[in-house]
Amino acid sequence: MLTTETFERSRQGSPEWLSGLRSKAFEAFSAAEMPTEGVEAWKYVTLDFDLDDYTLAAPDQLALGSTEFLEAITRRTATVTIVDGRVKAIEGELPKGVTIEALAQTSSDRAEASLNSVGDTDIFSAAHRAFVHDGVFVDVARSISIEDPIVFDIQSTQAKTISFPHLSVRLAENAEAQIVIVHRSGPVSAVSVPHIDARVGDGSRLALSGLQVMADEASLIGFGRFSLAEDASLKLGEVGLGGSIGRMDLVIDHDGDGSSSEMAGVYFGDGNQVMDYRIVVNHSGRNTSSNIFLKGAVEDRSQSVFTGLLKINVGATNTSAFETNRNLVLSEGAKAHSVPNLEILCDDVVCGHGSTVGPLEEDHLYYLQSRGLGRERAERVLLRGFFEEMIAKLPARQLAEPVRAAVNAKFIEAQAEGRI
Amino acid sequence: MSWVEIASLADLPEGRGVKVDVGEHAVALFRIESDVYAVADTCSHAEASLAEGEIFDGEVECPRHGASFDLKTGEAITLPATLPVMSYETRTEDGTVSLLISEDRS
Repeated sequence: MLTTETFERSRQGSPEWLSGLRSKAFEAFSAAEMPTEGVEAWKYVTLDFDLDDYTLAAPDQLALGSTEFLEAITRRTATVTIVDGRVKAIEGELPKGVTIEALAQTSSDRAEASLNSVGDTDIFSAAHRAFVHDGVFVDVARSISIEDPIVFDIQSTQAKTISFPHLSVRLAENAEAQIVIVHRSGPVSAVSVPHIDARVGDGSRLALSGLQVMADEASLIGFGRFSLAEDASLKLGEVGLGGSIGRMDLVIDHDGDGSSSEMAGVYFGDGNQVMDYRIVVNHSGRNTSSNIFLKGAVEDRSQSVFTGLLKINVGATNTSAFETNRNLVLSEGAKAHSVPNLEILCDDVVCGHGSTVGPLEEDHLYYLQSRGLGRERAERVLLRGFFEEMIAKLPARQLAEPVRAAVNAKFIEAQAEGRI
Repeated sequence: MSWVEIASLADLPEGRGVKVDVGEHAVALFRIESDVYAVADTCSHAEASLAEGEIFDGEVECPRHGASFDLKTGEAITLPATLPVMSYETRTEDGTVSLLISEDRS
């Protein structure tokens, strides 16, 4: 259990500033309750676990074996392995101007700003700050450009444990970097509550891809906070394939004039999975643009949730902002909730949102069948076409092939078992 | 015609294609248990890699438009493809897979 005793034990050895920050967060955590369907941010998600059943993993756990997703990324700048919330290894020869530090090495200001970037959103964000005991801090100096990605292999390995991986990225001016994060677990009922914060400096470009392949018994409740300075650009990729609950709560702040972001997302739920994406895009600077596009499929009794908010603040003139979410509901028991919202406080903007929820188009199936394809084959062709648009947009191109294979495999399995 | 060693059997994943380039030949290899099949990688209908296709009952399904080809003969089984793809003879000796390739490809 995450009791006061657990907290005190985990806090031992923390420097004073961190100890204070964690104490405050622990108070917030103790006062917070598990979200219910009555809370707007959790409206469609039923949490099927009790945090009281979970505790922190003992240190020095063995890392998991490799996966096809990691193997696909052959060229890398560095690989960081985080096991049950603790940094296990930082490997690779870093180019000049790039540093990767663990929590114990980084400056307290840097760490504190990052730890505070989510705030007390809910019990999970409070728990993250109360129990976080390690972290990775990536800094890319001015005008440094790294072509090959820094890969984060974030693992949960122990049953009935909860972990709080923490990752912070800072790009100074005119820098460029690519990050790939793989969230995965052993076949155990673990919960991972990662927190990723990234600040992209003036004129810098960050591409960040997250891929979630947790085991069926495990859950991911992740937070991402991104802030963009003047003329900064962000490319985000999100792939959700695993987990009992796979949730990402993301906020993208376009603070600087001329900043821009693009996000491509792919998810596929089966069994009882819940894929939950909550994405807030704030536009405060002038001449900023954003484009959020997620496509997903649900079958069996799985559910997906897309809650998007485009918020255009006063003074954010000449903003261009779009959010699109398309869903295939492949089985009768599956559900897709798609709720795109706009809040526009400025009149010089171009904004749009669109969402669709439905089965594979009968007309399209009929057309393909009239061309000689059997029904099942026609379904596969349509499914591949549906996802290909997004897979081609994932910022980490190396992930395209294994993601395509995984999505196809899920669909073929559902067909073979007669659920579609 | 000559035999060219191209892969070790252990490196070929079961039930999934692998693309290999042998001289000018782009070949899709498929391992089904201990049997290895090889056909030309490019679909005869449109530009697509058959190595990325799924395998169903001895046929590979093109990932792009759903045409399927017999893995043994390269014969086009369903539309939209009407022409076969080249098939190659394979042999496996001591765990090494070889392909029978003609030098002049016309």
